[in-house]
Formats: sequence, C-alpha cells, structure tokens
Amino acid sequence: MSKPIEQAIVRIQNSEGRVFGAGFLVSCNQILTCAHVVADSLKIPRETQELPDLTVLLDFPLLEKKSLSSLSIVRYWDPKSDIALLEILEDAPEGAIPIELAEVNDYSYCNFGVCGFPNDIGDWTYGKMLGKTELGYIQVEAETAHRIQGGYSGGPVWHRDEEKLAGMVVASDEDLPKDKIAYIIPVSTLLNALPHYLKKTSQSPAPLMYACFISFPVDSINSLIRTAAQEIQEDLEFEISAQLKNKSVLANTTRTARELCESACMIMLYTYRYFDSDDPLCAQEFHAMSLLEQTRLQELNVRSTKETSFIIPIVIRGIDKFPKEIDASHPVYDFVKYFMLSSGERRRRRDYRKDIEEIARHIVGQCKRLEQNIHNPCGNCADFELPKEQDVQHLIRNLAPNWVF
Amino acid sequence: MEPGKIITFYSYKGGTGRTMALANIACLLAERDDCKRGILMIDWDLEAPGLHRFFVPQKYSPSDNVREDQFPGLIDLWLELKEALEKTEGKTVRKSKQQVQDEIRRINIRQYSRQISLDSLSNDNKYRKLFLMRAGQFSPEYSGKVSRFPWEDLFRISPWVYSAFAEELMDLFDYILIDSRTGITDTSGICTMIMPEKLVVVFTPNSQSLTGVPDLISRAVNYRKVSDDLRPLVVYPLPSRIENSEEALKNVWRFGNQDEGIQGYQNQFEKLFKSTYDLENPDLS
Repeated sequence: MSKPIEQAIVRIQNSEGRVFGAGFLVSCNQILTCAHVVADSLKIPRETQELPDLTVLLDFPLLEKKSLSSLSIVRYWDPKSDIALLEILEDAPEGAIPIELAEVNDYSYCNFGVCGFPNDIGDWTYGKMLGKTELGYIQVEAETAHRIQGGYSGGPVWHRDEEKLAGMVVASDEDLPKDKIAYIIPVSTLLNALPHYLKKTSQSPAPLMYACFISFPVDSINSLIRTAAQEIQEDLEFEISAQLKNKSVLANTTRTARELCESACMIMLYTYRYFDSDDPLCAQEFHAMSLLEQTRLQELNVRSTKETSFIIPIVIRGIDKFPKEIDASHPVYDFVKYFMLSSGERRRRRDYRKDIEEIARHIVGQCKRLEQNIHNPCGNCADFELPKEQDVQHLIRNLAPNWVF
Repeated sequence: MEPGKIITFYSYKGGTGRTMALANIACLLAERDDCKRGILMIDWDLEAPGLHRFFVPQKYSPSDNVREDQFPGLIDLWLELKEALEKTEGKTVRKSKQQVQDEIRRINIRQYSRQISLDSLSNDNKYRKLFLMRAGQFSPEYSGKVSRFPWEDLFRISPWVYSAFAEELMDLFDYILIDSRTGITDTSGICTMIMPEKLVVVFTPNSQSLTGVPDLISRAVNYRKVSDDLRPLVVYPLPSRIENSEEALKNVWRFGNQDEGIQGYQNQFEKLFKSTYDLENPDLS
C-alpha cells in the first residue's frame, strides 16, 4: 500500500533545506498540503489571509530516481480550513504519479497508513481511523511505535480498506503524546474546497475534446444535410457552451475516427440514407460509437438505458425505416416535422427549441458523468480506428424510394 | 451554387387559371437580380398542354425551318431517357441512383427547352432568362406517346429516376415551375410528391374545386416525410377567380357559414396544416 504514497509525497522545505511538513501530488503539477506548513516554510504568520505571493520549495524524496527540488507557487489558500494548493512550475519529475481524490464510503474503525517528515527522511505510521469530530476532521489513532506528530502535516493518509486516499494530516494531539491521537481532513472536504482549481489527475490531460459529434450521411443534394447538421450544431452549441467551457459540438465534416473517440456523445442525424450501402461511413461511425458506449457504460457501472445513452438519434426523414433495435436504448428525437419547414420557421417553433434544450441537457449530463468518474474515457484516442466495412454489414441496407402511384 | 427551387402548380379541377398564374409568376421571378441560371417552365399537363400559348417564340433565322410545334418537349425527353435506361441493363434490372444520374446528365435536358421572349418585352434582357419546356412535339403520334408512356414501370426499374431528374433540374436552373395535370393521376403524383419544394394549389372557392385537395396535400407532405428528400415541402393555397364585387359571397367561401353548411376554405387549410405539419396554431389570415 505504500507505493501510491511514495510516488506522490513531497517534502515542503525552506531555502536552507529545513523541512516543515509534507504534501502530495494530485495532478500533473499540483500539490495539496496544509496552509500552516506553507506559512511556516515562508516564515509568514499562519493567520495570513491573502494568497502568499512567494515561491515554495519542495521535492519528491521517495521516488526511485532522485530528482532536484522544484519551485512552486500558491494557487489556492484557505488558512481557516488549513488547505493550500501549490502548483509546481514544470511538470512533476519522472516517476511521480498523482493520487486521485475520490469520495470515501466509510471511515469508522478502518485501517490507514501515512508518511511524514518529523525526521526529514520519511517516517511511517499505521493505525485506525475512529470517527468525525466537531471541526469536520477525522480522529485517528496510531497502532505502531511511531505516531503522527509535527512534520506529518500535509501528508497523504491512505485508506487501506478502500484502497484510496482517506484525507490529509492536519494536526496531532501534543498534550497527550502517549495516546497517539491525530486528526485528518477527510477527502470530501478537500474535494469540496477545490473543484475549480483541481486539474484532472490523468497524465495525458483533457481526453474529451468535444461534447458531441454529429454523424450524418452525405447526399446528392449535399448542401441540405450539411446545412441541417450545421444548424443543429449551432443551436446546441448555444445551449451547451454556457455549461461546458472549452467543449464544442463538432459536425463530422472532416470525418476522422479520432474526433469520434474524443467526443462524449454522438448525434446520429438519421435520414433515409444513414445506413445506405452507397456510403457505409455512417454505419461505421454508429458502430464505433456503440462500442465506445459499451465501454463507457461498463466503466461507469451503469445499465444501458435511454437516460445513460451516449448516442442520440435525431430523425429528420424516414422514421418508418428507423431500426427498432436502436429505439429501445437510445433517446430518439423525431425532427421530421421540423424539417418539413424552412430553417427560420423551424427555429421559431417552441417545441423545436424545447427539444434542443433537452438534448443539450442530456449531452452536458453525460459529459459531466464521464469527467467525474472516468479519467480517460476513451483510452488512447490517437490510435482509435473505425470498424472495418465488413464489420458493419449487418447495419447496412439497400433502400429504394416509396411507391408514388 | 445553391440548388434551384422547384415550384409545382396544381389544381384538382381545370379552369382555375393555374397555367396563367404560373406564367405570370415566371415573369415576376425573371425580374429578380439573383436569378443567374434562368427559369424553366415545364408543361407537365400532357393531356391538355397549354403553357406554350402564353409565350411567343423568339424569331429564328430563315434557314431554321422547324416549325415551333415540331420542337420536342417533355414527353420526348422521357422517351429518350427511358430508352437509355433500358439499354444499359435491360428492362428488368434495377438501376442504382448513380446510374440514373449519369444517364440523365448524358441526355442534356437543356436541349429540350427553348429560350423564349415576349414580343412586347423582347428588348428587355431580363426576360431572356425564361425557358420553356413544352409538353412535346405536336405530331400525329403525340397522343399515342403520352397515353402509352409507362410512368409506373419506369419507376419500378429505376426508382430514383424522378428524384434524380428533379436534382438535375435544380442544378441547371434557379427556378423550375411545373404546370401539373389536374386530378389524381400518375403524373400529378410525380409533380406534387417528388418534384417540388413549394406546392401552389390553385382552386376556385367552391366545394367541387376543393374536393380532393386536402387529400392530395397530405399525401404529398407525408410522402416527403418518408423520402430521402431533405427539402421542405411548403404548400401555398391560392384561391382564384374570386368575384371582388360580391363581397358577401367572398367572405362566405373564405370564412364559412354555418346556416348554409359551408365550411370556409381558410379554416379547412388551417386544420390541414395543423395536422400535417404538427403546427400549434397555423394562421392563414
């Protein structure tokens, strides 16, 4: 269990090399520690309210490969809760791996392990977590010869039963050292304090580039389907951009597999020709997203329903030919009536705008679900390939127009 | 370039002034500046052709001794196209959309249409944008060609042929105005269901002329919904031959009169559009 801590723990020092406490890596270049550890190392009062505009020196002493000390700046400062977030100016040294912050189910009488620097070189304590105290801290008790003491502050406390971070050391009871009591800030408090500051822990950041990918078939009157896709893209973008910064909706004009993998959801703009034999690319895109959807649902540990779907079919022609099996687990939108009118009239319709809002909400929800629960939803996007043509033959059909006479 | 717009003029009964409305609208469209490729009028009322009478042809050189009636038109185009399609793969094999498109392009639709001018307006360049495709060559064989043409069989072996024809027209012209046959027939089905982006339904405000109209409109709109054609289909009801001096009668036909058991046409169309387009409150006033 000591490995995750060894790969993430840092020593907070001053310029003379004196150690004041610990901290740990939580993203590619962010360190979580106690505000009082930073204040002590900078020789400023612990009550300082403003964010200190000074650099903090730290190093990763327990990595296999020794590295030089790093300079960091203070990114978040909360002396009352005793939380500080540091950002090192370069990326973390080789071998350093961030610790993920995720909610803990239970603390009571669970096992923990922690590392600190009362002696500058690293000191380990194991014990039991007891329960919550009035300040919102978790009270813990050491069961080893060593106990949590000065120099442990800011150290990562490992939940040995749930195999994740339990919290961060904040104080020890110095009045009764033989009782070996100490206090930690639980991970939920850390998560609540830092939602806007924390970067993703993933080593290759921001795997999801797009909120949604719009897949549509090409047509001989090509401009019409393209215009339809672009207008839906614009309408959705308008709704989504307020809630998802840095994420866009992408109509498949360049048509590459990578962009599909980098998107949270996919809209299939279904027309009569979507699964046509003349252009199997749509069938390939649909199949690709179905596979991604399966993987994502598995990792999220949720069932495939209309609510959890990552594919949103929008039918603009030929709902009578829409495959029934897709209907069951995807939220199908009937846009046929809107696309019997000009685009101006369509956008004026209240029911159209309501549908667009609903789709946007679904996409935003799915984006957040992915980002909160999976760090790299699509594995390696650069290597993602569309399924082969022969693998989508079951979807392809050869359609003729309906009888006119 | 933006695809051209096909507008079909339809009336359930004759004598509504449908052809005249088409000819006038063609002239109005010709005055527009955005019209670069020209306007094509097609006389698809093959059993009772009449559109050509509205236009006097341009003068020919003396060496050109082809009389205007001898000039080929729509039915001749379709005969050539049918023959070409049958030649490529036989009468029984279904043609793909691509094959049909290639054949249509090869035929060159333009050669079946003629630039026209009106004597009174012949000095005006604007009207040089007007083209007419007559119903066909008026030879003794004309009626036989028309009555025997197998519109249904052609659809069976080349299901894409009519929509491909529409797409080719949209490529060649800015506006295509089609004079459709009356009633419910094979060609009126093609003209109202497959061809248009806008459907102008001309009717005289009496119950006879309106019969069959709502049915035809909902058939056309519903066909578009399950087709591969992404163009909208917008319907324009056009009442004609209204006696302006009879104000009271005019209102009765439009707004209805319960005592006389007359349902006004405005209300009928509003109801129809409400259901076919799923609109909240269509208002035609």
